[in-house]
Amino acid sequence: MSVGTERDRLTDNLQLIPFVEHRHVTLLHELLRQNTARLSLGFLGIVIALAIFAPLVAPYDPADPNYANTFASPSLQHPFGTDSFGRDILTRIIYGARISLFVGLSVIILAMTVGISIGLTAGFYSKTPIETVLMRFIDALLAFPGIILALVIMSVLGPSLRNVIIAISIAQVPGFARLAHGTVLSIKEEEYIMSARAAGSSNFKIIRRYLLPNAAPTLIVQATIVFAFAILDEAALSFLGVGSQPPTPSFGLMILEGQQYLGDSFWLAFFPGVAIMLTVLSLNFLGDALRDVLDPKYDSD
Amino acid sequence: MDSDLRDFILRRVVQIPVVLFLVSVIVFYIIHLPEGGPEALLSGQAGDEAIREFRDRYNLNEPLYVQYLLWIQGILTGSLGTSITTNQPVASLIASRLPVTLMLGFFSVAISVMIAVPAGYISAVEQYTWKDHTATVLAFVGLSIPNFFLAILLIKLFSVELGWLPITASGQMFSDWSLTLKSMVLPSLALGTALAAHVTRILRSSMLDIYSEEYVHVARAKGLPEKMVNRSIVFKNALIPVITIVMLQMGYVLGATVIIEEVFAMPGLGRLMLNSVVGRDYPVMQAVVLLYATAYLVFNLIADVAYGLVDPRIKYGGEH
Repeated sequence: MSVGTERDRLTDNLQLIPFVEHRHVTLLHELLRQNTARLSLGFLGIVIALAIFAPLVAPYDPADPNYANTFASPSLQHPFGTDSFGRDILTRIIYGARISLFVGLSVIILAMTVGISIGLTAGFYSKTPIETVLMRFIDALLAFPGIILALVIMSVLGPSLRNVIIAISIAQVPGFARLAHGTVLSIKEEEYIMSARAAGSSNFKIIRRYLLPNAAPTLIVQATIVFAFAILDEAALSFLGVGSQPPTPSFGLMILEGQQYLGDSFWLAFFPGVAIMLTVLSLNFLGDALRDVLDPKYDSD
Repeated sequence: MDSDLRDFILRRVVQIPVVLFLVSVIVFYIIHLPEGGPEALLSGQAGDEAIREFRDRYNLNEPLYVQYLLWIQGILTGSLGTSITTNQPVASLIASRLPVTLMLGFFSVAISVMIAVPAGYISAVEQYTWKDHTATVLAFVGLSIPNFFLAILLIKLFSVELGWLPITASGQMFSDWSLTLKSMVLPSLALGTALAAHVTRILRSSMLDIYSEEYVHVARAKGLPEKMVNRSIVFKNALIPVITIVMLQMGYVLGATVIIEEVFAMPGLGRLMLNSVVGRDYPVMQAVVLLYATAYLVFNLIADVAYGLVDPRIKYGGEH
């Protein structure tokens, strides 16, 4: 074992597992044997369904103000109360789930595509200047702590949901790049890759047939974690006022608004906060369970 | 310290300026990328004359690489430029904001260690008991709750409802020490909870790893009481990964200062950074971001060294 930087060690935890075909079938089965995973999957299922069918299930319009009924406390008509514009908070949370899931999914797709491309390129051209340039660039991105990089990018792009997705994705690229780079390096010299190459397989075929299947379990776990991070970061950026802008029903914005009314109308901030927390909690439990199931070497106990 | 380790540390120290150089280039170019450049901030409210003056003052008429070199030259000679919005020297702005952030960081880490060490210890020693399960669930909740939402819950409970703790020391920061310390409790707790949750999990799993080591079996076979085994062997050896993790998590702590200082209206670096982002005060933003990145790199270096000092299995042979 040689010491790399800290991220090497973090990704070491998610060690690569040889891929076995029948895992597909048993994965869900094994997951469902764990209580926390069952609960998390159930909750996420409900959230996803609510988000998709928001216009059908939401009792009110998320943007429609009702100045006759502002700051209504939770009741049968408005289970989570109404906000300073008289908008139904339950409705806004259902639409907020849409935004959170959309951000999470977009960030995974963007960060994964860009990160894996960079990592694979660096891996295939290892020991060349291409690798050095790409991976040093990734190192530099990793030197920005926490959401600082996303903040700097937002300052230039300007606040909007699209820009939030771009900023968070850029901040999540290094993790995927490291993962892909490590995978290539670890199996590049394996005999079956050499023989595939000798038999005339193209780079693309080697990636599709050998590399991606090898990295798939680790990627799935990583994607779950990034999903949770993206939801938290979007909420944080919106809360700081540099993310989504009103009247978008983003969880972070709803908490920002509610912060002004902690004394008398606590529900404004409370319910959106609980919504983020439960969603992220489910993702974290799911990620943990996935790691247990997918990686026999990793023993959380 | 053997020569391998010394070489390794040296190599990491040499790497820091290289990464910092790249970081400075990235920050600089991100900021100067958009059409119109940094003076876009002024347009609308200023006439042509003012904009020309502004461009002269901040060297915006020079080619980009010259501007970059001027900035670096400034840093190396101790001049970070002046803030666009307040006209104050950036260096003195940073100096006046630094103490608050250092204090917040220190208390956050201290609180999280005070929570995590007993929680992780009990979780490992009494594995699979209700105590372990409780600690595990709480740790997951701590990792999942957004720190700004936790901050709001704490404010609601301890400030608004119970009135025990102030939300902010406002103007009395560092003049009224009792108020200053009290005002640090809620922010540190809001910031430190996620860290505490993380450290609890790491301490638990690294202690459980050590239980299966041969020297633990030997100690038990020789008749060492279980309490001694837990404390002086297992816990002590598990501390190193914990120190490493705390150092690596400083990235979270640094990033979270921006959010927590904003919630509690604390006059720290994080809030300075956020204001500079909102106001596009790029001389301030560049300097603060570079400072944050430097701090993070130093913490990473400490983590690597701590890790290397203790684990003799690690070879410092260079790249894999």
